[in-house]
Amino acid sequence: MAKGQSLGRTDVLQGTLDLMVLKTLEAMGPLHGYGIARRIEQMSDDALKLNEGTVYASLMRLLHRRWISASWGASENNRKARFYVITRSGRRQLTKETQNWDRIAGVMARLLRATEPS
Amino acid sequence: MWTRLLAMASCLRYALSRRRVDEEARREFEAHLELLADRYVRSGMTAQDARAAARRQFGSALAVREDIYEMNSLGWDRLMQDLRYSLRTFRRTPVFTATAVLSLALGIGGTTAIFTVINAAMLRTLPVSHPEQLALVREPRDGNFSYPEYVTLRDGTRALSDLIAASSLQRVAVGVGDDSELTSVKIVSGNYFAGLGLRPGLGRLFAAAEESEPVAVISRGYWRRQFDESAAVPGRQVRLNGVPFTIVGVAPADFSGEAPGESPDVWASMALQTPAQRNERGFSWLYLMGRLRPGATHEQAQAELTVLRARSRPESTAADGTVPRVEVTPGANGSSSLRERFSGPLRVLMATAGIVLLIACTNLASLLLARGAARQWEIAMRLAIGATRARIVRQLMTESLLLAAAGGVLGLAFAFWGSGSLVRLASVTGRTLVLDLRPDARVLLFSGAVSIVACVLFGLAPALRAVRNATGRLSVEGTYRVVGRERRWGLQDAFIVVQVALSLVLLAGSVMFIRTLKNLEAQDLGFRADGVLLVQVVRESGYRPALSTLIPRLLERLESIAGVEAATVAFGGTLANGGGINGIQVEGYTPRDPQDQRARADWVGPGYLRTAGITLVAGRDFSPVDDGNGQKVAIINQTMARHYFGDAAAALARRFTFNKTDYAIIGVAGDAKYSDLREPTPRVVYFPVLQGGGGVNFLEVRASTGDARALAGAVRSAIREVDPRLSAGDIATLSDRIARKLGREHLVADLTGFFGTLTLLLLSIGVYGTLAYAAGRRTKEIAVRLALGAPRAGVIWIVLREIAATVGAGIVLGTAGVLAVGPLVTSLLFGLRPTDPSTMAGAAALLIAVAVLAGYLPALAASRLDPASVLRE
Repeated sequence: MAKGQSLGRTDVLQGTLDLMVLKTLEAMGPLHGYGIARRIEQMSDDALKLNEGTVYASLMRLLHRRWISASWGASENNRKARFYVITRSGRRQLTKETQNWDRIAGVMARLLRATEPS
Repeated sequence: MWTRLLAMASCLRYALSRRRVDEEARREFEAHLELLADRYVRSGMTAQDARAAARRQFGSALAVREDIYEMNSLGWDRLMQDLRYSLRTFRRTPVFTATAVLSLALGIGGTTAIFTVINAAMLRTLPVSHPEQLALVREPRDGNFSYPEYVTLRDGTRALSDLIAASSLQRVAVGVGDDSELTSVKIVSGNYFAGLGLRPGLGRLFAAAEESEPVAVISRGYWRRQFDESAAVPGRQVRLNGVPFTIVGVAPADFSGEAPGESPDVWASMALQTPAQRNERGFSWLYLMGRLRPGATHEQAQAELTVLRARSRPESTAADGTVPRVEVTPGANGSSSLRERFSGPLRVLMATAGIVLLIACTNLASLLLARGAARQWEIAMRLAIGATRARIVRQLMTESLLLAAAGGVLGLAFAFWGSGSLVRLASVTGRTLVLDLRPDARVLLFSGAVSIVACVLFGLAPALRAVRNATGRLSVEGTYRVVGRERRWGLQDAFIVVQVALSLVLLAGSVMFIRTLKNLEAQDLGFRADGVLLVQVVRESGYRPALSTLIPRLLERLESIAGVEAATVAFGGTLANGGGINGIQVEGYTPRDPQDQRARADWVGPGYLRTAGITLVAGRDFSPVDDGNGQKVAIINQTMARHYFGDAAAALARRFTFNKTDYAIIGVAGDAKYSDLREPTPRVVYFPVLQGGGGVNFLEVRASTGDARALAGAVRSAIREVDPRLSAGDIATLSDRIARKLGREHLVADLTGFFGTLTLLLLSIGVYGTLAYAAGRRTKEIAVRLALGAPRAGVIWIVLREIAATVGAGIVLGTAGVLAVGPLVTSLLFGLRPTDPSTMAGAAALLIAVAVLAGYLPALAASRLDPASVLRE
């Protein structure tokens, strides 16, 4: 994505959002939902505007698959908040997905370049 | 894989705590929104604007909560919703629900009950080793063999490795300690248990050499009842009819004899019969079973045994050299007169139950079809507000399955109750049938399968049709269709035709069986049945009274009782099976075939014919003068007289020889039914018991008032008075005995009558439902007719006309059905042909009457419409 280009409020595929959340937790350590949303905003250079509520749906899915775990803690303004942590199987999944994405991206790139008129 | 399982476990955990998770999520979102709002406030917005912006950025919190909630559910929600909706729908149409469930339940219950009984009586194999090797050995005419015949066959056979013999179930006084009680006893050969390959439950079983030793084996049940399962039973002495026997062991738990339906408490060796009784060649009382050697066939065994038997009885060979055959048939299910007697009726009942099931299913089908059509509007509405077709179909399927479940469960309950009642019906007075009625997997599977298939097929098909036809437009169908039938012959009509046809077949059948019973009961039995008491005489331990002194004293005492018109004694008695004799040589008559030398027999006391009410055609009745001194005499019946001598009068003073004794015929009795009420009277010869042979098993006492039971007490004490070592055993009336003989006819008549009533009920409900629906669809048309001046009676006719054609077609089809299958049950009928027209006319008339009656109510309701209010809508 070029810097500054906005994707708008698109329907990011469930799977990709889950991946983003997982990566965020891996990179940043334990975060609560708000923190994850901010981080994603940051990482996509403000181009990706999603309904922040969907992050929680993502978190639920990840919880179901036991790729992350949750515990209660205190947030910045001293409110009770749920903090999420990536698990070992989550890390494994992340590695797998990353490799997958790389592979797909590579294939697509070659494919697209090949159909360009020479 | 492991992670998958863990994931599933956590899914379950989340599912169970959905509410809590939702509450937590709500708080989480609240916190998130606060943080967002704070950020906006810090960048300069007002608190209110900040809050709004935060909410916009977050998106719909409710939507996310719903998503999460749904994620955490296991699909229960939808199922519960469907179930609740279905239940509401059923509650709204209670008549339909009740009818549908009841139809199914009765159909399934009936069929399963019959199937269970058939299973127990006919299909279950004996709990012995290698039942497939067992074979039944029968004598085609009488079925039984005498003891000497048995020994010859057993010792000479090479095709059978074991040949065992057993008597029928006897009631014998068994004395334990000081008590003596009538118990069911079977007399068996020494190799009985070994031949069946049984192992003892306790102690040991008979050895072949012990055939004439006084040994006995008791059943599990008897061991429990009488001896409290004491381990000291082997070796105990008991008295059987006075003779001391030693119990050597207890039979295995699941063995109740080689004949299903019987449940002997004691198996006794041949020692229970005196050597003289045992060696009586003319008396056939043993049922035989054998075990085929590997490689031997039934035909080989049959041929061998026939030859053996013929060689031992040269007199049985006919002039042309043919010998009476011995039949050898597979016997894995055990020998059973029960099965022989009831196999016909049971098959009929199974067919009946099958028909009822079919009728129930067609009833269900037409009900569901009507319902499906009536729900078009509801389905269209649901489609309009956004339900998917799949969702609707799933909900309709849930309804069908719910119906199926309810019908199946109720049906199973009916089945248990039904099979118990069936067996009780089949158990005739005094002799309870013991059948293993444990439902087995086959029965349950059958019932479940039928239930599900019926409901899904007949419930889902119309439902799918309704969904497909519903266009999603909420049009009010048929509002302005004024005249004519709504459709040509549709599926619903076909179902009604089939239902009517099947109902007619069933009704005709039940009428036939009821008439058969009536015919049997009304026929002239040859004796006077009412007011005769039959009292079994039981002798005390080892007591052999001198009949020549006992009988006159006994009869004198009995006849002195007030209310007694006449009394006599008998070995078998009226309508009992005293036994068959063979080897009669009539003076001046050349036997044409071996059967000519056979007859049925009984040994009776003085005044027998008078007491039994049998007419005396010629000569005289027995009197005390016919005793041990002097010429041996006999009375023969009319059939026998005609057979040997041409007519009754010619028989008097003629003679015949039997068992090396010379008899003079002193009287000819009218034909009285011997043992079977259906068969014409066989040749019967009566011997005076005072001249030896037979014995005294029964007293026959005729009451002058016709109430025989009232004499029971007096007779009982009279017996004791005359001889304290005698006592009264089973007491019944002759009418009881007749009822017992007609047991299976009663069974069939009662049950087909019951099923017949059931089908009429189902039919009336079906007709009512159909016409109610049809009239409902045609309200506008009817209103117009009424407004234009049609008479109300005319309207009734219009509504009824709807089913006139279908019912008519059904009757035609049904009549064809009766004509087709009627001949199959000819053997069960008596006094009428299966194609008897009055039977069919009666059944058809009954059916039409019920249909008209059932349809009259909705027709009447339709004719009472107020045209103005209907047309205003």
